[in-house]
Amino acid sequence: MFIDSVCGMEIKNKKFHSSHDKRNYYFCSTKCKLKFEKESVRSREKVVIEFYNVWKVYELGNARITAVKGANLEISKGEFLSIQGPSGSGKSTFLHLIGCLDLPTKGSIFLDRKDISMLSESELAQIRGRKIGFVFQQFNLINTLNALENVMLPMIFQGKVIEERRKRAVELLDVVGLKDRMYHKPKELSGGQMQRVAIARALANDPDVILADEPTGNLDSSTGHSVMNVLVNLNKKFGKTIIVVTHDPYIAKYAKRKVNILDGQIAHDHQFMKRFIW
Amino acid sequence: MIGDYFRLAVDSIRHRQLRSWLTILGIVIGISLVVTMISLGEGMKGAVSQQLSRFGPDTLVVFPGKEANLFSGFFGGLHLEDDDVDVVKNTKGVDIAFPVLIKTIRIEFGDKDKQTLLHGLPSKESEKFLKDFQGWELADGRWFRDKSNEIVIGFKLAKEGFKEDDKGKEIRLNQKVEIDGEKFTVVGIIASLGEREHDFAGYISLDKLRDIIGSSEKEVTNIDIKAAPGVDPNEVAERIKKNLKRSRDAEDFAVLTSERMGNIAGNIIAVIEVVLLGLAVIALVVGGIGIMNTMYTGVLERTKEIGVMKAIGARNRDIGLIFLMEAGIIGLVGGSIGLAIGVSIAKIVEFIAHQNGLSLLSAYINIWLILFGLGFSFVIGCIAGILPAMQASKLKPVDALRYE
Repeated sequence: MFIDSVCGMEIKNKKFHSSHDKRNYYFCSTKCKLKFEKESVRSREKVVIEFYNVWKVYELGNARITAVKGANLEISKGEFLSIQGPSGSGKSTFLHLIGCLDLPTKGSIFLDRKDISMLSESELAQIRGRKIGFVFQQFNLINTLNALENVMLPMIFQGKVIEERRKRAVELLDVVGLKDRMYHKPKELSGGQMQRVAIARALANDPDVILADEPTGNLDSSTGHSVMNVLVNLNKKFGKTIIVVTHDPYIAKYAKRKVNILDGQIAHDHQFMKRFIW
Repeated sequence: MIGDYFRLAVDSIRHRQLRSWLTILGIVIGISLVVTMISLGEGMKGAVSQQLSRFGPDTLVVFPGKEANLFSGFFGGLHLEDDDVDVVKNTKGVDIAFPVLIKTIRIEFGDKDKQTLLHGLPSKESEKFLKDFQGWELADGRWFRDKSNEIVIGFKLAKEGFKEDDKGKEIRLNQKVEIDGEKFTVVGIIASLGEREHDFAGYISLDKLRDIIGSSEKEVTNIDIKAAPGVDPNEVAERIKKNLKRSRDAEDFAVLTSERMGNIAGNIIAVIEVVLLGLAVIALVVGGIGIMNTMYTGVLERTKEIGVMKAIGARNRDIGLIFLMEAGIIGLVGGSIGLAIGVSIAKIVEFIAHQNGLSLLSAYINIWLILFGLGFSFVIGCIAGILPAMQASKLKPVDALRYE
């Protein structure tokens, strides 16, 4: 059994196939095949994240839960991507896999063309620190540290010296418009301010990818939109790859590309529609 | 980087002040006990060895009762007699030997009276022995004469013995004290020896003391002996033992050399020290368990925080180090405070001892004791922190992030 690497559909016969980079790819239809061939050469040059037939199976007691079923996905540098799906669709698992917080049961995940499934926990931690910036729904700032220290924290784990850390953190807080709140503890900041500190922290080690998990989930809509504008800005100005996981269609509208997840599989538009039409 | 982890750990300790201080208290109690014990134990050893060095290496004492159980001799009514003194005197290698009779008797001075240890001694031998071989000196006056109503008293007895709340008077030379209705002239005052027993005692002739207590027996409390120069005191002790055993027809006495007495005192101190140190170590272990408990609670409480730190690039060993350091700092802070308290207690005990005439006892405090106290408390903290730190470092980032 194979998976269409464009739309993520399961394929029983190998009618449509194409080879690229010494590897064979199979598709559900000519439409997907053509899309792959048209985009592959151009986009693969700057692929940041690639899922190749990724499976994730959890064992809870005697029950086995397959959260991701043979997903194929490519995310290029500078994309603004939203991942949407109903609860229980495997959204969180996707997020964890993209963020190198978890490893697939089967298949490969390439980050900057490097297969992360082979890495040790401490190597993964280093990669997370350098290449991925996390923004969480609950902000997840460290309460005992002030805004500046929170932003400096990821740089500590990369062994950067204090002067460099401080300079960069002040710069970043300036970018998110919180330079005057540097010495405030998270408790003294509003939700929107905390999320902006979190974005600054995500940028600390200048990662290629910002991974935001329901970044507006705990904010009112106007604050939420201003936080989203910060992310849009990062995408446009600095060319950061932004991946937003959300169930809110209004937030998803900011994204240039939408990935829908259903039952652990990636459903691109036509597939997704088909399921509902059936 | 270690410095940054240190700051993170301190931040987290300060964030949970009440719990941190309670945990620190556990270590404070343990370390202060350990420091006090070591300081006073060493001080006691010092005092004993100082006393023994004054005692002279060729000095021996015969006590009634078996060596293994000297107290039964003191309290069990056993005593030596004048005949025994003669046996000792005639033993080969004995230079000086004289009987000592010690009784607790009330001395009156002015309108005050005081229960005092009165030593009955033969004038000539005791003067030579105490002055030449025990380092005693008279602060004032002279030694008493045999069969006279003369008394020599200790330094503290003269200064403070009959004083109470600034009332009463100091005893001066040539004043008279009354013992059992008989007047005695104070002819000498002994310079301070730094130990309560002798500084608060009085010394009169043996015959007078026997008259006062109305004893017809030739009872003797112990026999003080000096071995002849160039003779091994242990050999002399063996000979005395053999002769006394033959004459008394029983081995109900003990012959102790100064070396032997030092050992006995040293052993007693060692036992006391071991028992007290054992208690202190138990207190420390309890303190360590307290740290462990606090750290486990901290790991649980901060699971999400650990997840976040891992997400933003903290490796397992980074997390482990932060927690280990936190435990170590708790130990170290507890150790520093405990050290200060322990040293203070030792100094207070020293002060009280000096107030009460034990001027030889001094609290033993040096740089090694301080370093030991600090190092030991840090190590205890770290040991207590190992398991919680390992638990924290092994948390899976995904599970930790999901934890509420």
